[in-house]
Amino acid sequence: MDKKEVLDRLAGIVGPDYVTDEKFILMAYTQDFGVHPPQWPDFVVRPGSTEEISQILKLANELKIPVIPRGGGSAQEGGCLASRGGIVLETLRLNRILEIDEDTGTVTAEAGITFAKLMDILEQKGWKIGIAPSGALAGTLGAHISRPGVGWGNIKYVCQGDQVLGLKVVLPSGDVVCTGTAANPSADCFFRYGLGPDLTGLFIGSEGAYGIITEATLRMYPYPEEIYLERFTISNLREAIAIFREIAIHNLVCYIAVPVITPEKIIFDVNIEGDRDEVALWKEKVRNIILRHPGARSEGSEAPRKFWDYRWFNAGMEFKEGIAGAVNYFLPFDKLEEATYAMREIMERHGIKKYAQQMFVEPTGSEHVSLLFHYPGDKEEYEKIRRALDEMMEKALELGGAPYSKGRQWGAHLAEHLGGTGYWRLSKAIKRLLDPNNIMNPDVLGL
Amino acid sequence: MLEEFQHEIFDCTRCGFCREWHWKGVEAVCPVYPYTSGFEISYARGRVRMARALMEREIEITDSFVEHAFMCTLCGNCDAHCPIEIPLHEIFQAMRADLVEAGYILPAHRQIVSNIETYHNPYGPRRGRRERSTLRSAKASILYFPGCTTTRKARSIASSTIELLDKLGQDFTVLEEDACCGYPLYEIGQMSVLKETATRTLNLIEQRGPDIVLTTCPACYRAFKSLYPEELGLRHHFEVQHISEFLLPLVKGKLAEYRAKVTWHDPCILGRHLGIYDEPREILRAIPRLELIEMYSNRENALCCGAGGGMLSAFPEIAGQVAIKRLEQARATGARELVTSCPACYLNFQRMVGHAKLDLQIKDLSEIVNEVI
Repeated sequence: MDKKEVLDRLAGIVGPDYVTDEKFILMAYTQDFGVHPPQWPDFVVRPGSTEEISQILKLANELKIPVIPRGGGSAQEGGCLASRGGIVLETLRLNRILEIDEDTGTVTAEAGITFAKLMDILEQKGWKIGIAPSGALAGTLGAHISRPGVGWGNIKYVCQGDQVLGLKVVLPSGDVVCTGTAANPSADCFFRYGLGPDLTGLFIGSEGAYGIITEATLRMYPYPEEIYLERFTISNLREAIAIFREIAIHNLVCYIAVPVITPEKIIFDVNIEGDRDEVALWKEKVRNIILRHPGARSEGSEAPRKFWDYRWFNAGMEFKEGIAGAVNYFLPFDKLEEATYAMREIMERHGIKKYAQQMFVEPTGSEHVSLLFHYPGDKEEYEKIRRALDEMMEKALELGGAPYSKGRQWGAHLAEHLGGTGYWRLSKAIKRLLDPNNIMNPDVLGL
Repeated sequence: MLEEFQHEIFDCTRCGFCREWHWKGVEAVCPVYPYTSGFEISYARGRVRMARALMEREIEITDSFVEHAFMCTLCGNCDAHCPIEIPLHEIFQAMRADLVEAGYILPAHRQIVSNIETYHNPYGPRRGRRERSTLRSAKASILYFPGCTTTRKARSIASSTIELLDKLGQDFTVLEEDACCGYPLYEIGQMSVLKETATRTLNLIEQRGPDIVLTTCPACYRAFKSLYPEELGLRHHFEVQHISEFLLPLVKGKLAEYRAKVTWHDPCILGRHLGIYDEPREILRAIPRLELIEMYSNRENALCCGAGGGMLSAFPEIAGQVAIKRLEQARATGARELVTSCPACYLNFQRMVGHAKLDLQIKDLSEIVNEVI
């Protein structure tokens, strides 16, 4: 079938306004927020419903055309890029909150809603969700769950995936699946488990390889009476990690963000939420843990409070340094120090001009982040960054790291590192079963 | 033009914060985006990519490309909410200038250019009897420059302003001749016609030798204040004042009671581009019994009326939808009157308020002040 016929059939599903093959529009979908080389799709389609997505996937399966789901296009690992051409399917028109159920403490929303919108509406009603991604102004619910979603709230609420009670997913065949208790046609989604295997988990972290999430039900929580923030500095990395571990395993804070790790100084913010009495109690405990470590200093609450008040915007200001290649992965506490030095050594050896190292602490370890910035016109620096990223990903897997957002950036490394394992064989077998024509976000995760 | 912004174009990190916020008083960052098909090129991130493609001659320029390059009000809301602080609306204006220089133009804009060249206003020949204001001497220390949109489409702004200045006993004259400041040409990228138009208009003004040129139109204000000297190299010796700056020190304590709930719409050029937010609010607050209620999006976050950037002429339906969104924000405050100080905003709101069946009166700042002085 020629492209014109495909375009017509897609237009027949979504309407002519919401599909295009115009080159200058396709061009805007060739990149994400990272450093992956541009990849050109053949079409971009903007469906408005689960039903339309189902029809698109049926068509794509019939014609064996790849389909690449894309939310806000604000991730850094190339997960939404058309590495084999095909159809980029943008979910931003699916942007409604479908139900706020105050009885069960759940919110159900469409996959293309951005977090800023979701959280703002909930806050106006006195509620919040557990995990708030730093890219909340652009990032979407479906894309975040697919990765599996970290953010501010990591210690208390772990990952976005842990907040999910059920999903609505369109499989590559076009079949629509509800997971969690909503699998029972007589039930709403109020609990993740019970009817059989936890199929929700299949789609968390799988980055669209097994299907497209179109709706999700998350837990929500009463908005806390008080949110306390305090900034600390310390110069010794080992001491810092000991602090993070002690606070995290006692679950004393909502999150610890460590935006700056340099050889001279580590800066970290703690966020404690709850009712006033709780916050006062946890604050004392947390301060005692931190300040008994030699060299630890409080920098007060003003700076982190200022950041917090305008946090979603401020998160973007970090990239005044340029577009960043990112290597993000989870590690247990006892590997964090070694990883920090190892990543720094690679970046220094490659002569990377500007980089940042950060951590976002989890209950059992931390997300370890390296950002390699460059001015996009600087092709030489870009090439250095691409080479350093490859080496850093290899090293991260050797250290036992578990990549957070994998996209296409980590694909080949994962395939090589996990290739002989039962986990890989099962992942591939599921892929073949659900997606025999390999249309669903091919190359992502290395599957 | 675009090559002057090469560094800024590459500065875009593609974060996507220029689409929609729904946070901190910002709904759609790009006011036009919700009323388009919504592809990436319908808001700043994709438009910057278009600018780069044009600059690097990377892609064939199609009619659709040109149409999308002009589907933007140049309101600057994306600049104000860009974490990298890229001068986005200036890039988009430069993209238009480069397209025009390469021979691309929208049919609606061709008419505007032709009208300005022939009749010295964007709207074409005057029909019927030319209105005359009170006879005034040709020279005075203050020259009121009503501008083309006020003169042709929102005459009540000019008549209120003239009455008001008389009541305040000001020594002023009015530029009655058709003369365009050129800002509409700047917005649609017509830089060479702009230079000719601006030169003629500046001559007309300088023949009258004013110390102060007073405007009720933010576009005229920006043209005289910064466009002429900085972009066109046309220097002048008069001071430019917007009516809100001019009135503030004169009217305090002279205003009668006005029992109404009122909201203020910040015109994009007056607010985001020129930083005048407080003066009009202070004037409204100086009116006894007037209750000023802010809209959800105000000051730097204010939603555009939809008319700017040549949108009202080229894409009147989208311009109308944007206006309705803003009018709904105004109505949600409980106010019965929306006050602004820009003839384009005034005109677009007047056009759409009945259409949207909203119980809201649109007034210019000069009108409301003239009523209570």
